Amino acid sequence: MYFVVLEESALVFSSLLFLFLFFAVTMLVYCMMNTLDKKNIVLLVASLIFYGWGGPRYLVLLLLMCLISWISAILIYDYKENALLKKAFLIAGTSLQLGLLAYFKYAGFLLGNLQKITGFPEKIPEIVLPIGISFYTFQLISYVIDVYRGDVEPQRKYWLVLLYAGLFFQCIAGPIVRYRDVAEEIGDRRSRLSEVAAGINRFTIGLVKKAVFANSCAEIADAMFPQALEGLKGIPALGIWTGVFMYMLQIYLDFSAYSDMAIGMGLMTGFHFKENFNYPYMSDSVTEFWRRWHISLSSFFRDYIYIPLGGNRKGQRRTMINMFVVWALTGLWHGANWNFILWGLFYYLFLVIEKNGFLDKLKTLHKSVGHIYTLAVVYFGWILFKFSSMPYLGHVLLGMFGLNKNGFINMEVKVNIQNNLFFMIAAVIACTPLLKNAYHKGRKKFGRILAVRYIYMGIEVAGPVILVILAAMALVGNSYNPFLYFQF
Amino acid sequence: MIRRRKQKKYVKYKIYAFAGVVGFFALLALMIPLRPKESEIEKRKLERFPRPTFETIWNGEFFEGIDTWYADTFPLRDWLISKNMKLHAAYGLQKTQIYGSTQVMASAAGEDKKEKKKDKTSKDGKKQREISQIQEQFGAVYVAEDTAFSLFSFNQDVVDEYIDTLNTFADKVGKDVKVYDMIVPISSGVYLDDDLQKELGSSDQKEAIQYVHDRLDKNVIPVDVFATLENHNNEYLYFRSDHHWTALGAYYAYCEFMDEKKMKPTPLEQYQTMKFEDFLGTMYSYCNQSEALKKNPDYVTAYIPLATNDMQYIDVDGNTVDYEVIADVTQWNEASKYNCFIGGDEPLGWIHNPSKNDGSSVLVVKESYGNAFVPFLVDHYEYVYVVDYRYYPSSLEGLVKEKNIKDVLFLNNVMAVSTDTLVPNITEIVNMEPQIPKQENSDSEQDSSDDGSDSEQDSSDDGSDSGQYSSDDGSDSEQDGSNSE
Repeated sequence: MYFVVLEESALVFSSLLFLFLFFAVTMLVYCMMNTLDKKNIVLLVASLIFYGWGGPRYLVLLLLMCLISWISAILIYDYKENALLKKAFLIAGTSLQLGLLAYFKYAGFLLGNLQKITGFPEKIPEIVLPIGISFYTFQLISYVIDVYRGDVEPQRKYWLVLLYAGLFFQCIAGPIVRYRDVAEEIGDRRSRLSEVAAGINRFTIGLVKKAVFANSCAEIADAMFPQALEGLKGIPALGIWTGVFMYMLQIYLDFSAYSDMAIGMGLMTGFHFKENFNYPYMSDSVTEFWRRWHISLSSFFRDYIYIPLGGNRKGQRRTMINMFVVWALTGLWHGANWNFILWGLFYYLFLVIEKNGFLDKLKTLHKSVGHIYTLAVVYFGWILFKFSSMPYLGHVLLGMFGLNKNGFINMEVKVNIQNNLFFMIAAVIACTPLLKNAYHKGRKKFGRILAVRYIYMGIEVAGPVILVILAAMALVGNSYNPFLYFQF
Repeated sequence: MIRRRKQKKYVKYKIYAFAGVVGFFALLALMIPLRPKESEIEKRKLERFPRPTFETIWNGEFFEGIDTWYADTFPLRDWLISKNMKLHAAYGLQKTQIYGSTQVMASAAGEDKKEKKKDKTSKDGKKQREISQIQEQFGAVYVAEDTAFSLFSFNQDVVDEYIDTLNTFADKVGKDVKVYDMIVPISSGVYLDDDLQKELGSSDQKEAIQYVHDRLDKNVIPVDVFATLENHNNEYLYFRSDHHWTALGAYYAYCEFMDEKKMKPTPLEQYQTMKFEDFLGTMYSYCNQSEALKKNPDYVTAYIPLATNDMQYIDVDGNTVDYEVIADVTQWNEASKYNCFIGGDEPLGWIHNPSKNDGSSVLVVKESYGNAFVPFLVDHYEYVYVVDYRYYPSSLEGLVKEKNIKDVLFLNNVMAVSTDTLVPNITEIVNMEPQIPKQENSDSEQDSSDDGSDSEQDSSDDGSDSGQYSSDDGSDSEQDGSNSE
């Protein structure tokens, strides 16, 4: 390890305090307000408390970042006749923000590498990573650039810029919402009953996905990866394969759960956020995977880096270079460490191969071939993603093929798999649209029958209640509650 | 139109239901008096509401503390946890289970976790060591049907320290005092067959015990109880849901000890017994309140000594308490039934047998395995002293000399002998010199007693701690503390 990442604690969606105090009180007060302005103030105050929960220190940073965007967007708009000044304000605004992001997120990493090469500096400062900084910085940058491009008018009120970037629904774990998508709704929105109901479904499903499914997956995965390298060497091959598999399920269930909850809370209050995940593990190619995984991030890189660099319009060689830049940055965005960059470039490799004819070939083959190939690529990708220590990563790969003299299976792994067999099947199903499709198809097909309709109404009314109780059970029973995406 | 209105109505119900359940939990959570303060099943005090200071507010620790407190003391906590465990029981085929990892266990055992402790001086001027709370540890636990087995991992460094310590002690107290060592296997060693133990990654307990006995000096007498327990392994020698042995297991070990002493053990039928039902012990809470264990709870049978059931002990605060050798714990909670023996784990206890006045006495130096064993000794000595080395603050040699004790039995389970948070405690009280009370305050100068991996007599390689007994208070180090009452 080059440096120590100190993690900032924060209120997380999947904590009891959030659910039964913060969320409950905020929603109650929100509903009691009669004008949109007042409702917005409630959301803003709640968001500032939410963000400041990990210590008010980094609230200052959030306020500063929003101030920079607010001022630069207005200046860009007001001087839109003067191309030079306009560009100057854009560069000033975005580079200030990128500078702050670089300082807080990457200074330790950069200095650590510098120290390795030159021996200087002697001491690397320990910089705490402010929570959610990668998410809200990107939101604010997209806002400034969109204003520059004339896609949206700037927000004149500072506190509404703050509300946009700091809204607790999405501030710390995504999705990366574009200002132009919510600009109108900030000033004028209405929550319809049917949408509130849909929001409740999304929110409670996300809650259980995180509190029950993702946390249990994490528990099973972690049992296979002891902290010490010596311990890992004793884990048999099947244990490592199972561990990575459970991590693969965990990371999707965990991350998409936060998006579900953000979208759900948005719907409850009249915001319409775009989907962030679209069953990525159902993809038939790596290209498709990245159209379904963390959509708000990949479209950010597409719109603000890939296309401005020229995209695929400047010849094949340039396209490859552009893609390389985008994927190295995508990797780096996920964390300040070499393994994340490697992870990004790993995907670059497969995307290039697919772009140069492999994708067409895949289409001629049976769908399952593409599906299995994609899942295999993603599976090994998560290995790069999970292990930031190179020796550890190396031994994971060796161990998968029994090269640590670790054998194929032992009692512990066997018992562990047996103990969780049904859960594993359920978790796999949770990563597919199977249940959702069955639910809607059933309603469509048999909805005419009165009894069936009542059953569906019963499920709709009682379902969220049961899910909340399940989540409460799991959260009380499970002190174990790591928040994966705070690294980003 | 009608259908639409109906649709709207059920959507409203849905919103009310959701608001209702969130609101219910929200209000419930606000009922501060309903919040539990400690968890019996987890044997720990739950998180307290944090105290705000400027610093903790600024760096967020205060808010994090609120978060932890809110979740840790949630009303209906135990109920919610047990329901959650029921859900987990449906995760798969759970006829056999493993809790904790054998790999993690092995790597944790290798780490060196020594820390310096400071001595303190008690009111009467005796130098005492600081006692820190020690949690009992299980590495990995294997659950087969209704029985939990904790697995054993051999840590040679710690075991070597244990051997050195016993040899040192025997040297210190001289030939007049007989020193016995009894290492009790844990249930996995007695009940599980060797192949399964190996497969589970559990170290061989018989070998470990043999390792110790082979290296003890001649003046430490080993009492081997492995064979006798193994011979009776179709009986109820260990609890299914707790890491201790039963009084029956302890009885067979006692017979072995009597054999060594050339004395006649009391036949089991002659004792009056007490029985405490519905015992769900430490393993039950360690294994996340496993349903499998709950289905078949343990019971504790205790055998009351023939001569007396009265005893005294000194608790950690120094108060002398009158108590019973076998206490009635019927009303105690389901996790505490093993506490019926000799008042549980106290620094120093003693039992006077009124039907004897030959001056005979025995000292048992033990962890909690000793509790079930001690009652059987009562009828054979005039005085039985019991030291729990985890909490006893003073010199063991001092106690032996003060009370003129002739038999000293070190009683440990095999796991304790291999645990790096336990053995240094024995070393510490063995290495402490007996003291007489002092009037001056010069004791306060003495600090940093090493946690005792090396003793004075051993001509330690670490000279730095020899200043502990520097010349100016050398006067007290050789005297016995007979006037310390």
